[in-house]
Amino acid sequence: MDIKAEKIDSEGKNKNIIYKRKTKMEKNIEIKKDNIFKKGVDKIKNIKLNRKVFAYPYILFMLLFIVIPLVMIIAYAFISDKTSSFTFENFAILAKDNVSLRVLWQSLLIGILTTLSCFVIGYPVAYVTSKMKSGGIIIIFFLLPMWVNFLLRTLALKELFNALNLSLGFGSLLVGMIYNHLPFMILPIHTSLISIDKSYSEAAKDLGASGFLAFIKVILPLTLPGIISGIIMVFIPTISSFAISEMLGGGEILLFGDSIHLKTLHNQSGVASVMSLIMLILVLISNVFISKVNKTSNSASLL
Amino acid sequence: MKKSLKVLVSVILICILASSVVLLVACQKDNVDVDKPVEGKQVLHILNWGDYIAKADDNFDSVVKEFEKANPGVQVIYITADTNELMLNMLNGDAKVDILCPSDYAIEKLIKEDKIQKLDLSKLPNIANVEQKLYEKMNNVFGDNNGKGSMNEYTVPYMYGTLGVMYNTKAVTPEDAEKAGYGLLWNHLQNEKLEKKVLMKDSVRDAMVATVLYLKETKKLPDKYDKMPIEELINNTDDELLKLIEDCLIEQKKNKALKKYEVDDGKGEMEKGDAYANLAWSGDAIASMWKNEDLDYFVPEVGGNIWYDGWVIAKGSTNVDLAHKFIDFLCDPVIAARNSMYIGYTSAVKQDALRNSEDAVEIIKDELEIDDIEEYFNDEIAYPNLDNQNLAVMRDFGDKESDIITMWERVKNYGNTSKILGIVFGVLAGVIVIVVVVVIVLKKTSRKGKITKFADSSKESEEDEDDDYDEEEDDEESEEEDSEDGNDEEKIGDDE
Repeated sequence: MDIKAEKIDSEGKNKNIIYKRKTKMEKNIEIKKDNIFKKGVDKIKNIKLNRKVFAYPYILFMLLFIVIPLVMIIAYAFISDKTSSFTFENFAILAKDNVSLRVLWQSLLIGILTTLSCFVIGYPVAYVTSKMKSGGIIIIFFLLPMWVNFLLRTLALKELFNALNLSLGFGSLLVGMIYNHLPFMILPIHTSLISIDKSYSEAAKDLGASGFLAFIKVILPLTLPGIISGIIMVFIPTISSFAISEMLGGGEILLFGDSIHLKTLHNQSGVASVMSLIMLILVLISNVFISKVNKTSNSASLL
Repeated sequence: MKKSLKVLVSVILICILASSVVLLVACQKDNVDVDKPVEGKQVLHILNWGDYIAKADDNFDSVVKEFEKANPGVQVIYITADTNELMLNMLNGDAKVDILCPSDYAIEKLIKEDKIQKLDLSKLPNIANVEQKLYEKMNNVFGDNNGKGSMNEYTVPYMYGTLGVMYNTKAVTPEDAEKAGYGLLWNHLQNEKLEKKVLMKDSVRDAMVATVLYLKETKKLPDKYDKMPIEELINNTDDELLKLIEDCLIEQKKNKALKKYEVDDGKGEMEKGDAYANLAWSGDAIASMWKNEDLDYFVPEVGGNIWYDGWVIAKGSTNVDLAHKFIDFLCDPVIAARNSMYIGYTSAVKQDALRNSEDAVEIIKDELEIDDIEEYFNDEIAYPNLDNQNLAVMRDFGDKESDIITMWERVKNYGNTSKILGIVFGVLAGVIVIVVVVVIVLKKTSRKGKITKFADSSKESEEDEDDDYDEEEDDEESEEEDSEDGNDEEKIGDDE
């Protein structure tokens, strides 16, 4: 691969040199229109087909829908809602408001609980399906509900609770969270499990490890990257979710996302922006932490 | 090959870019509902609630189309919003808006912020059709808006309605409901059927009105507040009263009356019988009662909230004449009847004006399937008594808004979630501690066991799996120690 890329690069360089010479000559002689046209075509042909080119549409998208909104959130955090001038007022309001902080703490705990439950349920499922020949089909069954919009799924779950005459509250919220996020845990673990060579665990058993020990010492560390991406994909959406608690919380549970939503609706976009920033920082911290764990585990598994 | 591949990829990329741009443009078009302004036509930008104007039916074009037909050379660009807050934001933002239709308290805010202009009443001949009592009511409440002029100088009411209690007659008898009033939402009469079957609107304003009136009903208010007229009471935001309201809303949860705070699904749950009582708006209630005959709606005797939406003209409007024309068009009895029948709320055009127009009467009769129009006009739900001083208008919260939102968050979050979380995590922590202790103990005992094992190897078979595992670890550790020793030796050897 690398050699090919180098070849392309060197070809490009040679052409560039040729063009430079050409342009010098053309400066001396009169410029012909045909030449200009040809140059343009050649330039288009000369665009290097490297990975950068493919990224351009996404960079544009990112700029429009990620970078600019982010900058606006940061800006709003420092703008007073009442006087629209620069202040730190919003931070002070949030620090005084003990409800929002309690809500934040609560959402974090619910996020941890959801992630743990998803892991405890999801890992065995992924493990069993990876051992089965028809495992892929079973995984599709787990993914099938994802083709339905999550709002509809959650509404359907609410109807189910209503039909069973179960009252909504903490339990229903947790079930809804797990239900909505379980596929995100199963899928990465399943992929990392099926990519493990069978010979590893066989070798472990040959060397005298029991089945359980082989699992703990060999399979589990090898699936750690999958587990970690599963945790990221479950934990981060749960702490910031808001619609599920509105529908399944039974009017008892307010999550951090709900709080931000409510504040934005009622002309307090400043405070809401500060809260969003806190959320972002939390997500960043967890990402950094997880990627560190991931690196050490990778190097450990390589050793 | 390579060159053609490059060209192909660049073409694909260009296509993707172009299609995304086209998509963006197309999305915009969808939102606006109408094409770009045509040159040479006068354009009127209208901002309204979703589904808040009659669409085309068998007999008529949509009201917007009819307005365009009546005024050749005019094009309407119609956009919608879901909440008053969003409407105000859109007006402040880039959206071009000539006229909009916010609710009472939002109009007050707009006047305060100098965002709308006074109407030229001479350009509104049909305004005589509008119910004068509504004007009186709003002027009573809002006065002259701190010298900026009274409400009727700025707005023409469009629709109005009340906030009251909707309930299922299978669960609660009408007599009980009348007796309980807002107490129905707190299950004041301790009806078993109502347990966990009460819905509340997920809106602070409405919840506060219901709570304060419930407090008044049950005479739990301090004298100071008890003597206030309803108007003043529901708009009072004293800290003392807010505390009372908060406690009362929490009591609703403690009573096990409340099922949940509903966002949009309250109507559906009431119609299906999943819930038996709800704080509802009259228009929603009428629609639900059509679908489920067991439902009933009333505004409790103690009083209630009456609200209206009105048309106002934005200050930056470039087409003031046309805006007046549109507002006037909506005050026409036939158009008013159509809008009212389509939306489900009560038109601000007065009964006499509707009665005098045969077409309007015909439209209403057809839609409601009634023989006598008076049946509709005498319906207390559709036409509440506007002379009733206990039906009051809500005002803007002003500076108190953030306190009120915090209070509302506390109420919504009240419950045993933190207790459950505490227990769950306590148990988890306990389990982890126990596991750690067991592992440590097992390690120690297995180490001791090792010594005996060497002495007596026949015991080995009795060890269980866990012990095996620990043993293995221990073995490894000892191996590591061995190798370390070996390294040391090597190092020593190197040094030498």
